[in-house]
Amino acid sequence: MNWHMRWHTIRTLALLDARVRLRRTSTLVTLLAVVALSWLMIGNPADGVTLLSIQEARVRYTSAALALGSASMATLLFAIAGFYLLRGRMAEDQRSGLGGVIGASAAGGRPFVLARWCGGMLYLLALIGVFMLTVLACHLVRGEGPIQPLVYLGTYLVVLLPMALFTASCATLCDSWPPLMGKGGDLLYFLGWMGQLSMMAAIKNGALTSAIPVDFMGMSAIIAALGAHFDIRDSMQLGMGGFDAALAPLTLPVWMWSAQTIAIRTFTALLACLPLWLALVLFHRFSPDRMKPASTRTRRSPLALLNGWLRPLARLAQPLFALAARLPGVAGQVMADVALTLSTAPSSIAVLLAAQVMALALDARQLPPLILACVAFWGVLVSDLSTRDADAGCGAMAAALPGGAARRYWRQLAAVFLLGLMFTGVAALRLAGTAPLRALALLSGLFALAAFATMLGRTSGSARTFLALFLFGLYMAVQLDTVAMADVVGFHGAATPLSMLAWAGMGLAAAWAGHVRERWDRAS
Amino acid sequence: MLELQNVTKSFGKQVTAVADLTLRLPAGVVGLIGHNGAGKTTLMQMIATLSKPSSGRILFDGADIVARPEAIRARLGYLPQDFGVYRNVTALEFMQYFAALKGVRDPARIRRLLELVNLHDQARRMASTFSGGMLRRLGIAQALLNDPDILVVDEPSAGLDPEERLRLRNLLAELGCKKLVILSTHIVSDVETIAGRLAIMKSGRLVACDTPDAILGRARGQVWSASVDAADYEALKASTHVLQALRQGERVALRIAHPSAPCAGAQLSEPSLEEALMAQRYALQEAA
Repeated sequence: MNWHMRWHTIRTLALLDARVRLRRTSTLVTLLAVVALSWLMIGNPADGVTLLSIQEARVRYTSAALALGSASMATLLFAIAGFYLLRGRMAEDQRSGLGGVIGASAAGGRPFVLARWCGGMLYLLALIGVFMLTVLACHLVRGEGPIQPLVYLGTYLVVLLPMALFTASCATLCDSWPPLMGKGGDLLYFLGWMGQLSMMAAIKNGALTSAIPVDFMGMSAIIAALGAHFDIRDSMQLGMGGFDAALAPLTLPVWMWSAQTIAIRTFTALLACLPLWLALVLFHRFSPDRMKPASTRTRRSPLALLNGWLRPLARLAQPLFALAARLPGVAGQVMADVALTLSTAPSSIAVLLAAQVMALALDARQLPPLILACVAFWGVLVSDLSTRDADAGCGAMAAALPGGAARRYWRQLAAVFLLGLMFTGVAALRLAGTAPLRALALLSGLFALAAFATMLGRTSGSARTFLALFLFGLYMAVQLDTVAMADVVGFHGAATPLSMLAWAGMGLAAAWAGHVRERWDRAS
Repeated sequence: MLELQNVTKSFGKQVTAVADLTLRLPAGVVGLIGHNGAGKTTLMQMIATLSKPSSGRILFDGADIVARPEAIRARLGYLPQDFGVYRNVTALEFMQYFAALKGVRDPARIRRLLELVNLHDQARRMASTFSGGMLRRLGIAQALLNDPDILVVDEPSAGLDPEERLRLRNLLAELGCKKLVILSTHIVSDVETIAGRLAIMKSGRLVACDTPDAILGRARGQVWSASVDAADYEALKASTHVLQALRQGERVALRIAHPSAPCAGAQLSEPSLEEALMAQRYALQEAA
């Protein structure tokens, strides 16, 4: 195949890939979340909140400030949500049987992987483009200076391009190399994302400066740019927060980026493509030797390996199956879903047991971190509960059972919530004695998260929509320790009755939206 | 007794998958036959309460299952054409899960059904590692968990080897002695020996519903065999409906569907069920 042909193949496949991704409901859901988030984070200074403050002084909403502030939020969001939205295309190919067709075709493995990566990049850039348009719209309403599109473009290019390259490369690698396919790759990437955040904090404090070239999220570049013009050592806040209205607002220079910063970011962009190179080398090409049987493949991923080792624990779920058979109607069906979830992931049984022991043994003050860890594990575990019937090809069989598809939706929601209670229940009961408000926040938060997990899975058809938003939300919740609405499950003790009611209300709305979607699907 | 009254299912204004179909089905094996896109799967999905008809009624023992789908779900066993199993689940756990969802309390029934489909030795094996045939047998066992009065199976023999296909046929025939088994296929040999009635669909419409003997009877006198040379074969192909052509040296042995002798030397033959169905389809085309 000559270069012209290869280029034609890559271009065609990449455009098709981007189109397929853009047509998904998960894209629409993410876009709506992105639009809502961008409006929320650019707070109205008249309400006492601002996107960026230095030494308690508000920074004027000029193009440079809004571009910088929004880019810093976007890099956090798209680095995690982008990955979970991008990956999984090759698993789809395998499930649909097209993997074998592609593997047996004349298309070269490397052009194919490259095309998938290009498709992912196009998709990510489209999402970032929509994000930028939303911020521009926000600028029209709340901005304090003219809109300078080139300032926005330049800032996004410096901050977001290496992140997008890295995210798309990692997603491609996790799709191309069997040991990273499945939840093992998801977990590893999430740990990497957390590592990048920790690195950002270290760089801000003047440590780990040698790691700046591998700061793909670009926070070091933002810190360096701000540090070149202001003293940011003691107090700088990025993201929605308060400011001292008595201090005169600051104004950022129109162009923040030094030649050195641009050179480092260019080098970072090159480094960001390393996972892509690995993907090109390690691509499985849908070879049955590397991808089948499923047991062989899954045992290679770290999480599946762990589940393989812990397989004997799955027997502990047997009494739940027996109980499910004895319980009448919906209760039995909910218990069956709980039993299936635990038996398919025996590591969850180990975590569940450990959580109970620790909840009984720990001091009451140490319970919130335990609850945080349990909620994090639970969120990952249940992210695919409402999509697993369709993923496994059991959708039609399960919809023909008593209760049909409508009841299936509600029983899955109930199973997700019940699993949440199983993981955190003992800790919540102990908390109820000393901090009843926190226990109530946990209940309302678990319900809201359960509703969002089920609704997003049902509407988008993908577990990763919830997973991406959940992990990002979890990070934000950990960071914003004084914001009541961010304390969804009450581990900071900042939740108020109003915030609990708001979350419970949003949970109900989400649950109802999923139900309406279910009915719509049946009727059409 | 399952009754379909003027059932129509449309997708938008352009596509009518099932058109004004009326049918009464008592206990026994019913073979739903038609080519791809004839509307078989859509019809089965409506009977299985997965989708609702655009118009018409479906009654099961007098109860309207479109208005009240629960009237049939507890008494229904359904196996779709394409299905899979959850990852990291053994065959036993898969059965336990569906037993709980169906409200089946007797654990011995799971064991008996796994024995019935000859999977009892594989009960603790991961279901995702099963071969296509084993998977389909597991699906059948799942469909039988609640001892259904009506069993709806869509293309159940797809991907099965001849031995498994025979075993499945015998199992369905046995079930059909007491219950209503609706079996869709486009492979006539799957149903010719077990179906008491054949419902033939074409472009969403029911074109016939009769016993295999009656369908064969109608085709008698219309299927011919002949041996011709290659040039005559080309001419016959253009003017008649050739059911089968087998080259034998310089000549071609033919079986042809035609109301009268298609060529000199043609002899009337006893039609097979497949030939009878083809002859009927051609007759309908010509009538249209």
